[in-house]
Amino acid sequence: MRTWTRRRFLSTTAGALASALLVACRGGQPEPTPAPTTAPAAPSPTTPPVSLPTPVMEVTPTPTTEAVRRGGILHFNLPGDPTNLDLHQATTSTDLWCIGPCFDTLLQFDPHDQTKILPDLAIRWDVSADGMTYTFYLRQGVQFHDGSPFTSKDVQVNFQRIMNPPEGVNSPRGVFFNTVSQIETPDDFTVRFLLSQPDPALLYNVAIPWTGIYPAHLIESGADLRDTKNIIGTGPFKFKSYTPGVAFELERNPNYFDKDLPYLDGIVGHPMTDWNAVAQAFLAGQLHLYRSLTTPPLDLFQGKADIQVVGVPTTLVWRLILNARNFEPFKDERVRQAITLALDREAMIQAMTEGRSVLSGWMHPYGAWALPEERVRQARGFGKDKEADRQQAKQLLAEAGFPNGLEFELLAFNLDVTTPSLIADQLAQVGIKANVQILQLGEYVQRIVAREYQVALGFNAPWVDEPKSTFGAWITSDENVSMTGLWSDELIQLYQQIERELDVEKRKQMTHELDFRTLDEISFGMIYVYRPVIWHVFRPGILANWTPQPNYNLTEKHATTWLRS
Amino acid sequence: MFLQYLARRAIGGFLVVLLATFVVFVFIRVAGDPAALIVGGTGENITINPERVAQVRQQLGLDKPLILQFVDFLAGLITGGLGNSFVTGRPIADELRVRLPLTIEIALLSEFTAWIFALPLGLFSALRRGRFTEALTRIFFFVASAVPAYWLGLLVLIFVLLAFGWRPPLGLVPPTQNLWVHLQQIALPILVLGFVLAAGLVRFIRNAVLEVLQEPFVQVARAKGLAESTVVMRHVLRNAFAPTLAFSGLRVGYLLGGVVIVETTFNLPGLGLFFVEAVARRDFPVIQIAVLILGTAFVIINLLTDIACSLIDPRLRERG
Repeated sequence: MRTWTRRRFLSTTAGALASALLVACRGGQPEPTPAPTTAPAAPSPTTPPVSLPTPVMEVTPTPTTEAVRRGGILHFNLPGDPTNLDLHQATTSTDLWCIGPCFDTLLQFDPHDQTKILPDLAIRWDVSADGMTYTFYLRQGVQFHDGSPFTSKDVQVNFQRIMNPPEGVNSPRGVFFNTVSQIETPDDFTVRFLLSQPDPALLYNVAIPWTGIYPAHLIESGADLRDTKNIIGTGPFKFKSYTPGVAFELERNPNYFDKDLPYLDGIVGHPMTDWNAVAQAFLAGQLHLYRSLTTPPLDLFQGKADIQVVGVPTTLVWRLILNARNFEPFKDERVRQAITLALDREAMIQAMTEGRSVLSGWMHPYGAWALPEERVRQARGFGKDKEADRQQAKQLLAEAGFPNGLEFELLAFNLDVTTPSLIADQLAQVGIKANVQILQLGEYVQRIVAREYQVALGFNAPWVDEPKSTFGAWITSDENVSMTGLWSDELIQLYQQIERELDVEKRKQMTHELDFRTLDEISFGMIYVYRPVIWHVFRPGILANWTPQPNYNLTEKHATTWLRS
Repeated sequence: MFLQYLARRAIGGFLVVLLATFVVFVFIRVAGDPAALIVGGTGENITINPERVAQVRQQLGLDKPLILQFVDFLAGLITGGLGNSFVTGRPIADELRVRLPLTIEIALLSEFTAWIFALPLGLFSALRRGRFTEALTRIFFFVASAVPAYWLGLLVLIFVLLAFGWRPPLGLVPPTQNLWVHLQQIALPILVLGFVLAAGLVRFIRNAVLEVLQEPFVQVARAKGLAESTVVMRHVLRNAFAPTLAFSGLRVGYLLGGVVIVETTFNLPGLGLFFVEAVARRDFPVIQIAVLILGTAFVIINLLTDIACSLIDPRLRERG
């Protein structure tokens, strides 16, 4: 996710670098589904939520009554070159957009609705009554791109790699499976996950595309999976070629387990770092689809009825991280609450997302766990009367011993330089002086890791809209993990209950409670700022059977996507 | 004598590159830790385990003393490998295979285009000094020199797109594969950069020509009754050429900066973008190679310029 702002910054840096160097040197058809060969098992009483309220989005559904047109190559932008082509290590959308379509996972998210989970390599699953054993029944006759057959051993070896990566391998999502104590393979087509405690989030985590399955023999050989020759999965597309800076190309896998799929002959991702170039390439018909976190040049698309520009609130949330270790006043909850009261989130939504985002809690507003809007409105600083909020903020500051306001450093990185200044402006209205310091990403991350900041602006970026993913990283009292040095034992206890709760409705209620209280009380020093939007630009008359989603990391296989021309 | 001069310049150049590499080597290590970035991803997910960061630092050799790291880097170069990127793990040599020729091509052709624009115009405005047409040329090039390359590039792209519905084909097709497509891809960036570079060059040529026109030998040539065209071509231009060439050599940094910018605007996979990304990602090995390549290019081009100048003007050779 890169922005024009950052590009501009980088271009400037490049100019500076060149100058420095100069000085130094001398100076449709029926809706196609992934077609499970067997229907999923009827959910057992303890099956966690795999289908919950349908999201409401301003997206024109793709008509699916017409005949599918096969063939064609899908072209889209990549925000840059991929950085890590090992799916288990990769962390960026770019990486996933490149190699995601080459892999299958045990389960998958519905490409048209991220709140639904569908079968993939597992055709059905069941969960024991105590929630401690998950059994997946695997699809038979599946082949990897290198011709080797897919069996339960592949699943076992892959998850072992994700959970306990070998030396030199960084597995950012290993922690998702910290409740898995053992993986058994009773036969070639059955896998059993034995847990140390109930973990209803497991079904989501085996469905995220980052847990794609490689052949066991490849992993066991110790091969470097970042190498393009090792992009071997069972997915609908195979790796074709990669020229850095030019194109990442995939081709149709003729041996895909669903003989009807994929419809496309191939996919090409074009690394493009300049957003203007992306918009122009789209207008010239060179791209079928483009996505960005920054607002596209809407004026260029005006009056073009064939083009649809959709802004969907993302699963990412901008947040302020108050570090009480380095700034004593943050230990006083009145100071923290004054800050949340001072923020005008609706003004930021207007300014930064053209009004396309919505006020929400930490959980996604269109997702299964969403905190209802009327409840969000009740949280401190989320009400409609901003003037009253500001008065209250000033009063709280005075009570805390800062009648003349206070001053701290606000650390941000160069992805978005407008948001930090907006925050500083809003804080100034209650007498808080935030000195914004914009750093290059590398330097920023270093300061974050070392906890060298008073206040930092960053993302809360869940891999999937699920409570464990959303809260797991920061609802903690662990001094090594906490980014703020602040916590509430009561809320940690609540979170631990959510982690284990098997009853869907109860889990949802508890999540609402946690969501609301973390917004309102600021007991963890994390302040919700606003949810940016992902912009999707495409021609619905050409791109068929594809639906914009709030988290573009989850539905990138394109098995059922097709092109009308 | 000339050879001695060359050798002296070559050794000096080598030391300059070595020094630049060392300075950058030290400075990039002060500003930002690649291990944190590798473990932390893109900054979206910043709950990082410090132990993992330490582990990655060790794998990358970043826990060693600075001087030892530098020696390792030099040893690597001598044994023939450019090393691998910290971030992608891919050999840097693989990346350079596509990018280096493209950047050289754009740089050379843009400079060439700049000369094609600038030489006649510079000469024209010097010879027509004080007249209305000269004023027009000057205004035009004052404006041109104030226009940044990225903005002009953007404008040209949008104009071509809106007027003709055309945009250069995406990506980069090697000239050996399809020359026509290749030309479509590089023509606009070269014209844009050439134009921007020409702005400065025109002024320099104009001044150089004016200076030479004042020289007594020009008067002598005219007094001999030589045709004005012969005076200009044989005597004026030749003498104005050497300082202009030297000026051009000094502008290599500016040229390379311009290349980075048009590569970004026109989305061409040259070295520029690659190096800029490397800086953002704290990809030390790539940054080091970047400094090495750009520094060497700078030194070599300056050396070649000096040689060319001394060939054109034997007096320089004697002074050298």
